[in-house]
Amino acid sequence: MMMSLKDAGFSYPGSATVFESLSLELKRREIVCLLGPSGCGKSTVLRVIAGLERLQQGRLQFEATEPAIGFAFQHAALMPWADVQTNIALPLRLKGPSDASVIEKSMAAVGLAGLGTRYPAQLSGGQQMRVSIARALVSNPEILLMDEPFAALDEILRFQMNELILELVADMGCGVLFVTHSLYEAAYIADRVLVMGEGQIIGEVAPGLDRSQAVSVQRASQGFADAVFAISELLAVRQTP
Amino acid sequence: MIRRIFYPIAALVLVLGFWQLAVDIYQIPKFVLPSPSAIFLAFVAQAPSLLAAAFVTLKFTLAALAFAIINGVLLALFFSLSSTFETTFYPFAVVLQVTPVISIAPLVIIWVGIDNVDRAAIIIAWLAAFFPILANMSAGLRSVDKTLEDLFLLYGANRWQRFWLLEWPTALPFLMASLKISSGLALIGAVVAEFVAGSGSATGIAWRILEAGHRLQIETMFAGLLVLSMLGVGLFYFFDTLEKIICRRSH
Repeated sequence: MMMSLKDAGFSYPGSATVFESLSLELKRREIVCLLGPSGCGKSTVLRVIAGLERLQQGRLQFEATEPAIGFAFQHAALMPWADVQTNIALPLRLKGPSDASVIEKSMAAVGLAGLGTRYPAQLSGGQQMRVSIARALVSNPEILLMDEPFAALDEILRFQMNELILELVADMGCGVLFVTHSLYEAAYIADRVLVMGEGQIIGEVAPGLDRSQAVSVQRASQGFADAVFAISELLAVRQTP
Repeated sequence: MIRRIFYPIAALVLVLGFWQLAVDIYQIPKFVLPSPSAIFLAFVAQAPSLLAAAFVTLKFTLAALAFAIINGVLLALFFSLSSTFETTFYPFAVVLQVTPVISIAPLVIIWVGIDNVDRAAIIIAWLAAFFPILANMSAGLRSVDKTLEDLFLLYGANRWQRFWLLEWPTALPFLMASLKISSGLALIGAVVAEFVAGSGSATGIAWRILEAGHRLQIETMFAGLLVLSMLGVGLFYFFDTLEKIICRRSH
């Protein structure tokens, strides 16, 4: 197990509990989606795992002593004054001298080859998000945390990005914890979908799509439809008074 | 582009033509209102001394601006590091800003300017230029993208990296915008210092204007004013261009 969170509890000072007794695990090469309504604590789970918030109850354990963690946020959060390669190199630069070939490789992996000297303002929304993903990947993370990274993109671009994530995970072998609002996205990219209610995981769905099949076949498969149905059921149960 | 250049020039030519005509037709005495041609002739005749005086004022202005940049940026940095420090000292900076510089000028002249008007001019110009730099730089340092801050925290950035790679570039456009304002204010401060010091001890362009007034050389006054406003315009566009060069990528 690369990472596990056990009986975790967290609340912001002076406000209600964000989550309590929450447990989840992440394996290598696994994509786990956290799905749930706004304000249910999904993003806070990622922030706690990243070390941006301090866990108040429970235990957070990693397989490695100091695991490399990549984080892609909801908006690309690029430095507007720096070009694409400087933006991507940031995690390396903060730790020491950065290797140009590593940055080139990251850019190529997300389909940005040749755009290294462009500035964020010269890129489309999709390209900006690719830069953000390349930056998250450049330090070769074992754990990739993604907080609704494609929420602002249109459906077609979102489909392309979903393919990109699947390819990257297959190539790099990292584990991905992916927060999303879209049950279709979750049902398609996840190995396991954890459905969250207010501060708790209320159910788990494993779509089990056959990745050897064509994208269109996977998206029209019975497994995909069943997964969407199962997630919808869980969300509907939660809403029933 | 043609509109932006041609229209103001056409308006200027029209006004100057009307002015020249009015002075000629109504025989207005030149110690009341000299004609544009008389002002031009006075400018040509005294160009070397006027420009030399303008250079002196420019020197005071730039020296004061340099000090204001160093102090403003440093103080804004201290403010961003400690909210206690900011709460304690910001009100004093505000007092400095809202007290009209012309009312402080005589005091500064008495304290440091009796023997050394240059130093007084720089201090007064600094007083005028300092606050916008401090206020804008503080705002710039506060406007850092929260997500980028998280990212720097996640990747273990130290204090220096956070400043140099995140806070400084974020605040830079704010600083550049403040320089356009502060350069003009520093010029006003330098002029005020020369006016308050009075003729005899100061050597800048404002003193030349004052002196020409005492001698009723109104056309020289106008020529001096022309040089002074060109100085202000030059400073503004210098910092405007600098801002565009430095910030062109991020906007």
